[in-house]
Amino acid sequence: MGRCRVVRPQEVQLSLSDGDWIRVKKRLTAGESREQFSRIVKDAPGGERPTLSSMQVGLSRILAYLLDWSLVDDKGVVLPLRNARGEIAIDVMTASLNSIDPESFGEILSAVEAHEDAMDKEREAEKNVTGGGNELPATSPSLVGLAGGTSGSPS
Amino acid sequence: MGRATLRGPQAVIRWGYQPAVILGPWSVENEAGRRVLTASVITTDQLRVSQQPLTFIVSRPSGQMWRWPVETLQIAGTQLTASLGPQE
Repeated sequence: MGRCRVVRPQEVQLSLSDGDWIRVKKRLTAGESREQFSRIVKDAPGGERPTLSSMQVGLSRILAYLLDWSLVDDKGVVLPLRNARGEIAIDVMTASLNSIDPESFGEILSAVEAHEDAMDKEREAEKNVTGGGNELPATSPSLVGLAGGTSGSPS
Repeated sequence: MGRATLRGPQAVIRWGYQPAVILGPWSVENEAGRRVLTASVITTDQLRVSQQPLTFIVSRPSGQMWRWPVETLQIAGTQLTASLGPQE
């Protein structure tokens, strides 16, 4: 049986200066990586050559990874990253990231880039040791199966 | 022992930070220490919902989140029933 290629949604907390922190995805899925890339590339209508959006450079990488943080406004309220339903929302995250000072933005970006490099190295090391790695057990248990029910999407 | 019911208009079941099931109106019946969630399903991610651990999450207007571990789960059409562990 081949190795499991599903990215398990694990979180990692990274420290910033002055006691602040960010919590990020340990690794991105293929879908999350493609979303990150698609945010950087500007639309190229009529067969024009695609160009990169300078506004999205760096921001797109942070948006792909960021899950939570300790950053607060001048009233001590944590800057929002989620919408009213409590889900991570790109527009809310972008607004909060655009409101912080450039040094803090750079610090967050550096932390995310260092984390990404560390995860790439970890992944390479796993491949070298196991010949492919295995993040999930091959027989990952199924709640649906345990419960004896069936799962299904709304019809 | 008394019986208590919590209700809400929307909630989510997550696998880690990933949404597995987006829920519409839901209720949790708490009776004699057993918590049973019933809800209408808006969308389901088939892979994520088959993984463990799953967590039922309710976002409060204050920004606070209530979380319960999902112990068992069944989906029949657009109706979901799950048993929940103690609130985290």
